Amino acid sequence: MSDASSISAILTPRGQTYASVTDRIIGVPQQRPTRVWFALIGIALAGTMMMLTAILWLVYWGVGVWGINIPVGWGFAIINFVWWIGIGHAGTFISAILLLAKQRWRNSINRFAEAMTLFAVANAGIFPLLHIGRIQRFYYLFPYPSTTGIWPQWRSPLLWDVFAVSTYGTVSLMFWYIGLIPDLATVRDSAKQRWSRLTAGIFALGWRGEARQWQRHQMLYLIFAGLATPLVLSVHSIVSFDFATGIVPGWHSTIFPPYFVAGAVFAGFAMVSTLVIPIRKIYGMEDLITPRHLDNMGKIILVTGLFVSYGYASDIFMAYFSGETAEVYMTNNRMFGPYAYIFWGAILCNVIVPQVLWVRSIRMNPITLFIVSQFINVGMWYERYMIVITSLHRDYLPSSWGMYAGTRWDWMLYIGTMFFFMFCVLMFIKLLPMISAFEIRELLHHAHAPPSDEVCDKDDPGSNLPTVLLLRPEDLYGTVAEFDTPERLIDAAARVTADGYSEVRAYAPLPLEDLPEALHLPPTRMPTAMCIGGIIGGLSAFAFQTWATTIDYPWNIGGRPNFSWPSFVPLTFELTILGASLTGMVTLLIRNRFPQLYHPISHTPNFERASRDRFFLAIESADPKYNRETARTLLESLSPMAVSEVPK
Amino acid sequence: MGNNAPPSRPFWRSLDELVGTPQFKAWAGDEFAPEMFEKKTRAEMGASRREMLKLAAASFVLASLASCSRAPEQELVPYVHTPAGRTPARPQHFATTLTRGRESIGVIVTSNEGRPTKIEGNPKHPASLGATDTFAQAEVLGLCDPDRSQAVLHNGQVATWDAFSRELQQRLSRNQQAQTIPSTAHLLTGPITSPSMLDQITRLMAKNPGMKWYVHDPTGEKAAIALRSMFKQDVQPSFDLAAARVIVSFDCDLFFGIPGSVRYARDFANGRRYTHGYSSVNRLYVAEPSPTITGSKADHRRIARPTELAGLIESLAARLGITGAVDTLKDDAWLNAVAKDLEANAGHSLIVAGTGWAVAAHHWVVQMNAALGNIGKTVSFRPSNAPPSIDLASLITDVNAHKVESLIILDTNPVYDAPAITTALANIPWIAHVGLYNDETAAKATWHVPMAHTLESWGDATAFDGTVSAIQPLIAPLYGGKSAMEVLANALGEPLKTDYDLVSDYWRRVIGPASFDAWWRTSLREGVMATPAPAAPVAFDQASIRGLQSTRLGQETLGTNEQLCAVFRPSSGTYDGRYANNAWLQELPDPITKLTWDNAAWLSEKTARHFNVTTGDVVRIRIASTTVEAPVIIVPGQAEFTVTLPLGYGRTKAGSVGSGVGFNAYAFDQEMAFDVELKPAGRTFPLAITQEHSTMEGRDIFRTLVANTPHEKEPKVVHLSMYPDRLQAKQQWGLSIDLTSCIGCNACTIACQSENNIPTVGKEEVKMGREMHWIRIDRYFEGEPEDPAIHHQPVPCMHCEQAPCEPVCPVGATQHSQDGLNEMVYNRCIGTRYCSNNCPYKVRRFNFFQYTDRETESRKISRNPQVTVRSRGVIEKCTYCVQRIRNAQIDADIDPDRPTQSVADGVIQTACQQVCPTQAIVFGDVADDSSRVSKLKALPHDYALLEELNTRPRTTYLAEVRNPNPEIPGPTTKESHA
Repeated sequence: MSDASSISAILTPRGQTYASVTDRIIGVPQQRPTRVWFALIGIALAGTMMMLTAILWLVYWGVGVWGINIPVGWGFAIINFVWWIGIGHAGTFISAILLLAKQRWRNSINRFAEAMTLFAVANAGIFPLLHIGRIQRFYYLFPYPSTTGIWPQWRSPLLWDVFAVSTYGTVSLMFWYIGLIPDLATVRDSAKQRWSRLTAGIFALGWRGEARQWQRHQMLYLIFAGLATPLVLSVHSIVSFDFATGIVPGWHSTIFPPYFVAGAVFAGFAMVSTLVIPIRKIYGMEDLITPRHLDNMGKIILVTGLFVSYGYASDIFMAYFSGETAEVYMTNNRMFGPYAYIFWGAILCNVIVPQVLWVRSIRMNPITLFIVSQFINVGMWYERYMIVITSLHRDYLPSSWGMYAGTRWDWMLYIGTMFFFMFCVLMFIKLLPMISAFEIRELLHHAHAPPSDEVCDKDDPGSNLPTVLLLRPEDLYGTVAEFDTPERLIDAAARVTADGYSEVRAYAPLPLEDLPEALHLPPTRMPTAMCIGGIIGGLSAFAFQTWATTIDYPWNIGGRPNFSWPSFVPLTFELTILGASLTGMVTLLIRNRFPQLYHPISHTPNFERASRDRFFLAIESADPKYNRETARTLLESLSPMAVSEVPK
Repeated sequence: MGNNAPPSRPFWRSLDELVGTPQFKAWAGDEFAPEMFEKKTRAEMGASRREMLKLAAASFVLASLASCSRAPEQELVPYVHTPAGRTPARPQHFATTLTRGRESIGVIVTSNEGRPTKIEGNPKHPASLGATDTFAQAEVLGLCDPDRSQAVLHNGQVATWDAFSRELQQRLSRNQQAQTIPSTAHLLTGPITSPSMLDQITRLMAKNPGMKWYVHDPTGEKAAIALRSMFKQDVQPSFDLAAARVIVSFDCDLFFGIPGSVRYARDFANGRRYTHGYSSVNRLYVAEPSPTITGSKADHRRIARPTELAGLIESLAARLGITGAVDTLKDDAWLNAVAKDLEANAGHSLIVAGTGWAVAAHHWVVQMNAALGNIGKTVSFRPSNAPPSIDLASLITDVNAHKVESLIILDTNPVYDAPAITTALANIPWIAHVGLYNDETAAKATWHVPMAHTLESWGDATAFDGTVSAIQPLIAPLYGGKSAMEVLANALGEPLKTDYDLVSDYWRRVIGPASFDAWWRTSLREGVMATPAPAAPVAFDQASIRGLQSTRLGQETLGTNEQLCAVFRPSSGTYDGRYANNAWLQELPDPITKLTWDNAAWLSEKTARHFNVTTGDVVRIRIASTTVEAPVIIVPGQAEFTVTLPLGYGRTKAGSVGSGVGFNAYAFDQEMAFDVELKPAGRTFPLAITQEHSTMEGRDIFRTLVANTPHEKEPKVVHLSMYPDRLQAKQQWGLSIDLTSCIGCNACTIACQSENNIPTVGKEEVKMGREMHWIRIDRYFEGEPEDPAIHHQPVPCMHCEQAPCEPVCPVGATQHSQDGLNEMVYNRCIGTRYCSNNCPYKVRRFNFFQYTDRETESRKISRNPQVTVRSRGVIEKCTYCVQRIRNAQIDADIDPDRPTQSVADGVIQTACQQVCPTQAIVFGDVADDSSRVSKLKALPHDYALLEELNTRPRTTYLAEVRNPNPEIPGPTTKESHA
């Protein structure tokens, strides 16, 4: 921990308090939108309309409005799909993998990156749906009990895609939402407008920062990170299977899964930089998203960029090494054929330009990092263009070779999705805290840069209020003490439980690792539940595929055996993750009795600061040992800021 | 199905035949039995009502018998009792004949509920032997063309047939009454081979003394003139390629567009089929300025500019001892070898010259054949028995001399294809034009009469070898057209006669009334008429031909080598322009250039570089005073400084499909083709070419081997697999394609289009690479671009046993049947196109838009009801004509649960196999070692395309066998794969 805290210390400036960081983060959505924001959202909406026009035109006339043909059956749609999905990978990578690796510097950017993931996945999801010839029959992709008795064809990577992308979308959304719940509670507690309080309150589900809530939340968050890590790797691996399982020269490559995953993280971090650099400038968050963050992102871009370069090199080497006529031709054609500019463009943008990131000052400089990111955004699109188009346009029989070019409708849809993405990002910035406030508080806590809020507390009307003593005992929820530091809360909790109280509730604005121990909380059973959920998901997926292909509707697909178990693995994996995640989410709701929009603790004076910078300990009247006077005396002896008796 | 229906199931091909069946007679008799009218009790009323309905049905059948050709309106009443021989939803087959100029080809037309949907060759017809060419296949589409002329027009205003008929008769009778001799009314037609129509014309000319019959043939005039000058009458040459061991063609496209070309292709292919090895195969030499499909099959193809070609013909003549011929190419190794080969095979050789060649060339060629003793053996000349006709050029003279007051133009379009005549036509006071379309000539005519399509009329036609066959209608005229014979009958003052009367009356006279009825029935059923005295070959008087003073064919008449010269030839798509409005043919890639929806000026690469142009550049071509702008296409194998201008495009009034497509090469004076000026116009024109890449890139795609060389079969690759064999059915389907036989004629492509309701997509879509053909013909050039070998390789779906397309489909829309078919389920397809991406043969096609025309009513009639019409957004591809397979299995009463029975070998023919003139495609059961296809696949030179991918294709190829003369070194003798 010392290592992590020292990093935190560097990453977050001294002099920040729980309250100050919270107010700054939560303050952004509370402000009136600026003119710049209105101008930008106008542009984004206009671009989104362009996207919708392109979609309507496509649906009305058919996919023929695009530039696709035979042999190039996939064009912009699949390029853009892979590009957007790739971009969407950084969010989960930052949130999950860096969380597992205890890279606490991620806390400043993970919310943002996760949101970006969701929007990128939403954009990516548009394309596979639109690219099919009969959009009205998209539901054939799902295993629903059809009157024809037919199930989907489980060996197809496109079907794996459907499950992988929808699982990824669902899990990312849940992961993002789980992380958002404590911040939504903060918004609820500090918002000035009633509608804002109401909406945030509904979505916060009744979050109060209670120790058990934190315990389950942290466990779920950690397991989600654990699940999302293989998921993020699997999704782009499965996307790469779309190509790698094909027979097309240039696609049929075993390096594709790692190469695609690295490319995705590479592209994703470039997009995070693209968005974060201007936003931190506009909203003055240079001290939250520091040059150190840029430096770290630059390093990841550099490393994944080297992976990608290795992928290119390996692809070229293997083509020549194999001696396959078609492979060798395809490689030569990529480099020197009619689409050579795409290849060399990808090399320039993805291999050569990122090498400048070896220089620390370039990494730390927002402007240079931003420029490098733009190269990568373009370069990764080039890479997908290279993989999809230059492989297909000249494959085995020269008689069938052809050329490909996107039409205006291809471009309108592609550019339109960028505007839609921009629209989503702008709405996100406006509506939700774009930085995870509780995790920044956690960062402060670990950096030992705690409150010393006395100065600002002086004029705080919440402190030192006279306590209410007018209640009858049966109307009493309990006795609550307010503390100013986590250490005092933990001490108090330990003392109270040591006195034999069992119905003790501690409320904190950030997860405190020592609190469950101090409260003698039993370990949460979340992992068990999720494990069972995952096993059920996986087993049923495998069993269902086996039953559908061997018993219910066996058919001859390319001479493969009915029981093609290796083909069933991707879906089994995806549904294991999905099963575990959904179980976790449901368990969280049930165990916390969410949604629970009313709780008596809210009557505690100053409790709205429980989601900001204050710590509360409640001895509930339900405790068999509870006695108003004893409880009050005990709590007052623990140097609280205030003690109050709270009605039910 | 045509020729391969089991003999145990005779079907009637005409109503007359039906009347003759004893069942019918008995049945009809019963219906009219007097007792049925006497049943009067109430109890029997139900029965009588039924009898009444039977009676109604019988009267309907009798009514249709009475009219025979024209369906009476009663046909709209549904059947109460199906006529004998008629099974609902089962197609019927009728024999008829399709004609194009001098060509006539016997066909069997499939009719579904009275709608002609598919044309197949008549195995009993000598010009067909079961096969057809592309044009015959496309007549189904031509029939239902909504752009066809639909009304009689008088000076552009809608008029009536009766008004026209009256005026036509007045016009001629006035002539007769006024005793105007010679007649001022004349007749202009295309070449006519119909005996009954020739009889009509003879009678018409007899009735109107001095009436002239102009015959206009925009593609074959020179050859006809040459032969007429030698034989002193109109003769039709016919060749016997089966008897020819050495064939020399001087720019004669034997396999395309000339009368008998389908048969020639068959005979040629039979001459090099694998019997016991390839030890005694024929040899083909071709000298030509521009590649043709015949040239592509040559063992030695010599690229010769027209100037050089003239020298070659004359020098060969000199070597074969023809008096008057001068040998200008004494040291020519090629010619030496050819002459030697010819002499060694005297009597079993054949020399032919292109129909567009100068009269003198034909003189030399006839004399050479005579000198080799080929006449009567491999070449014969048959009198056409036609009344004397004159060519179109003399019409201009006659008009200028004011000898033409009325002109009847029957089914020919001189305003388009002989523009020189246009001014003359303007000076004729009264012109009646009879044609399928309101075309360029119709616009200049006083009257235009819509003509009935061949599939709508009665008639007869004479094939290249003199065989006469019957034309019978498949459907009543869709647009109320009149047949040419009916128009002539009006001119003869017999306005009430239908074309049926005219044909049957003529033959009743010829055959004699006693035996006519039976003869007529047989003729209609068989399609071929047993004519009493088949026309004897013209006796050949060697001395009289030797005596002919042949014109020298030197450079003095043909220009010099430095001048650009032009070659004109009918195009593979529209022929002479008559098929311009046929979308199937417009979209059919040219066998050599793979160009669709256009014609272009063919130039060799070097010549194009000389003029600083490339494919797609527009050039201004000037011959004499005419300048035409045309796009250039670079064609390997084209002679230097020679531009080939395909005819048949640039129509201005062809219809919505064909108008404004391409440029009109008829605008040029073809006699002046030796002084051509070509300049870049400085702009480009997009061309829709289906195959842009012409080389094999060194890949093992098209294999060639040399006859008479030992060829050990490579050990068959043993396919090891961890997977069990899944294909359990008793019969397993496969296809063998013989590349030796394939001439690249495209017939399979269009037969497939017709059989399987494949839509056309239009030029813009072809340009995008979205053509829909289920079987395409890949054309590769191999060797030097100046003189390449040209290969044709038909590529249908390979029906891979381990098809890469199947596992990638997310919804299982493509899967495998038990009998080895790679099946496509349109209803299940959502259109991801993944299967197409993963198909290494790229045979899958996608409906990027709603390509099939679901709106035009007339288009609906020609569709095959047994094949699904595809919607937008689904993939489609070759099915091995699964509907034919399943029909045959149903016919053979095969129970899918009891796979002990089999469909007999040869009963199922795919559409591409059926139409193939050279029988290059053989379909059958590969699980049965005794089937034809298994035997072919067992041959040593059988190979699978892209075998290394282990897709295990069911379609395999037999490597092409060439038979080069060892004395000639040349690129075509190269062996690409041994």
